[in-house]
Amino acid sequence: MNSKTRGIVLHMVMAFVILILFLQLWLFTEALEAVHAPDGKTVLVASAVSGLGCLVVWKFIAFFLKNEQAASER
Amino acid sequence: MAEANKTACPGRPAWERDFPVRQGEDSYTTRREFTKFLGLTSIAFFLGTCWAATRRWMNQRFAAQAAPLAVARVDEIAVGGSKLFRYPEPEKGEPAILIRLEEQKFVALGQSCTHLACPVHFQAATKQLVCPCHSGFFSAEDGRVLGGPPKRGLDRYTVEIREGTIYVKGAEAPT
Repeated sequence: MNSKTRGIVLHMVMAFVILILFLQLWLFTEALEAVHAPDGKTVLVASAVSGLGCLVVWKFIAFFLKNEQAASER
Repeated sequence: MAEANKTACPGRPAWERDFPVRQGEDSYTTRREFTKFLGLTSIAFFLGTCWAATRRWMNQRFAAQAAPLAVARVDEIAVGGSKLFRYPEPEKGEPAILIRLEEQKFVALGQSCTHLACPVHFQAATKQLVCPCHSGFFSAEDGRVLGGPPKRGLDRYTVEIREGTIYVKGAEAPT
């Protein structure tokens, strides 16, 4: 992967991370609303999806840091 | 000496050379730090969502275990009248309102508006609960939203009448 492509990929990774963070923020607000809602499934689904999002964010971050370090070593 | 200072930092005071403050470097955030911050934010959102799930679970469990609370005698409230109380503890609990809609029909609802928690007031003429802060309207029959900014109905409690006394217990799911 050349440096230009690597730069684009890293930017895309960061964009995805920020997108997932916005999704998690939305899920958090939905979960707060669902605390008193009649349907209890919403808050459980929100927690599960948020946990999944958190895992993906950390995977992306690990990928980002690994590739960024590789780029800076060259 | 003064000449030397002028040469080293033209236009700058001498103390800046002797005690350099690298503000630019001090406030510099590396990409690594920034990504770590994003990761921690993600964990914070996840924990917040888990906290909401735990709170809901505890609310349900507590509502199921709460003991019935004697609120009033049947003859204490006239038809079209209401009485304020707190639940589950008489002094520390959440504000609630007991309404006598008909001769044998009592309804107990939470008194906090689901919009911004202002206390709602019962209007017997329209059989509605009105929030004076932002004009939210709820049905006195079941606490559902009739109009205004609230999106969720008022908390509803189960009402029991035993030997002329009205008991309130466990929150029902709002509509």
